[in-house]
Amino acid sequence: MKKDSMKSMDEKNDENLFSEKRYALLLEESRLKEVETQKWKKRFDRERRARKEAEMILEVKSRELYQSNLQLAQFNSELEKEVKKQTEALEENITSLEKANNNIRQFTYLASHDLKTPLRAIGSLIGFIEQDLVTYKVSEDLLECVHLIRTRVNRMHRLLNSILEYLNIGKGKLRTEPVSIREVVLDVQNSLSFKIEPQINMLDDLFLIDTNKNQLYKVLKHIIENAIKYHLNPENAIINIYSEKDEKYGRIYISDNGPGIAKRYHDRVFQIFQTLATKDKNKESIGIGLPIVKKVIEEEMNGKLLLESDEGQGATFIFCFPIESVVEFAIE
Amino acid sequence: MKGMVFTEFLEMVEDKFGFDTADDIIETSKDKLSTEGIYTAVGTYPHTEIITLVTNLSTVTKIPVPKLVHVFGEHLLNQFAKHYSGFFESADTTFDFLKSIDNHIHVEVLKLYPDAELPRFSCFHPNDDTAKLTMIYTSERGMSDLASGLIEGSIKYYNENITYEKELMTEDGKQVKFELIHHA
Repeated sequence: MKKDSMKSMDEKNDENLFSEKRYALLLEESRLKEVETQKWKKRFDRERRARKEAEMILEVKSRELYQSNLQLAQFNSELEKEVKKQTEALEENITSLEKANNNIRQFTYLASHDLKTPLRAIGSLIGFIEQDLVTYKVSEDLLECVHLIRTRVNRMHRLLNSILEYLNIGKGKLRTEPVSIREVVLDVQNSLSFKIEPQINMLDDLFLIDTNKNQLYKVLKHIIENAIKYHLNPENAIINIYSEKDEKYGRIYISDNGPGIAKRYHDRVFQIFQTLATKDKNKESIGIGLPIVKKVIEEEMNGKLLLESDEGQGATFIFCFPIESVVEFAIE
Repeated sequence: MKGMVFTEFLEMVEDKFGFDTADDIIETSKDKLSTEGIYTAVGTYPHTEIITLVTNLSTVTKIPVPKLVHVFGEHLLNQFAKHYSGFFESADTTFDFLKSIDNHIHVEVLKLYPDAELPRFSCFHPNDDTAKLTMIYTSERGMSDLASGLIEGSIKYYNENITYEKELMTEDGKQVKFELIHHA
């Protein structure tokens, strides 16, 4: 019994020792665990701070972006204002230029119109004088002078009429219809009043164009007449007319074998009152025919007039229409 | 709702109730949270999620939801004061600060977050009495407890002797009147 109790004492001591050891172990374990937890907390905290830093950077950058967008928008609106201002100034200029142009046109029109009346009177008076001079048998020189006055008066009359015609181009909307170029050329040919019979060749079928017939007649007649009038030997004049078309344009070529026009004069022939010197006084021009033709083509026929020529090479006038005006099939 | 409300809320929970509690309130409703509880201050998240998180916290801590939201409001104000000190320095008093929320602070917030849906805080001095301020809180979220926490946080920030009363103007709490009195 005693022995038993002794034994149990020993066992108890052992147990105490064991539990102390275990306690120390547990303590150490929990200390290590705490160290480990603190380590992870530190890592976690580092990550969290990194996240906050990133969020802050993002906000700063967003604000910067907002500011630069704002500046950009401001700059843009200033630019738009400036463009608007410039456009308005430009429009104002255009308006005042148009006004000035209209005033000049109006003045020219009235001046030309009003000059015609006294000119007509002068013409009639010269007629009376001529009759009287023939009756009174005055000298040939005097007759010649009066005759020259009459031709000048006639020329001035033509000039005034041409100016009025030029000013009237593009004022009204003209009726259009499919017009056969071939027919118009034949009409022109029949109406020519030269002593010689000019050689006019139509090299292909030509096409029909949707245009005003009278205007096309006027244009072709003028170009064909010029080709004969300014030919050095009109009896040898050859005029070839042909056509061509592509995706954008239909073209009529009126080509002659005349003296040609030097390239440096190409601009000049289309300018009003600009003439090229000729030796023959009968061919004296007033310098308004081609400008009228060009204006009619551009403003009333929606086309373009081009010139290909050089001195001694003959001249080719090219009349371009937008392809929409070309009528594909002849209407019989 | 702005992400900062979420990140600051979770951080507050971690600080005051421990990481495990923060984990618990997220894990309990993980399937209800669009991002599984992952929030960043610069994002925007459904405001129902903050309600879920607060409700879960209330269950765990046995603290009523309004009290938790109010305390969070105070905490949030302190965080705002830390991160956006400029707004606080440009006002000298609680009243000045509260008046600047709609006219100034939220204008700046909208620059960064144009699609933010912000509550309105319209302020006026009743009978032109500058010792009193009436503030009408209007928000579809109906989180006036958060507003009262923020107001109380502001009063503490400016260290002024101000008391206030809160009165619901609509039953759903989407419009609430705060009447503040500054005691000399």
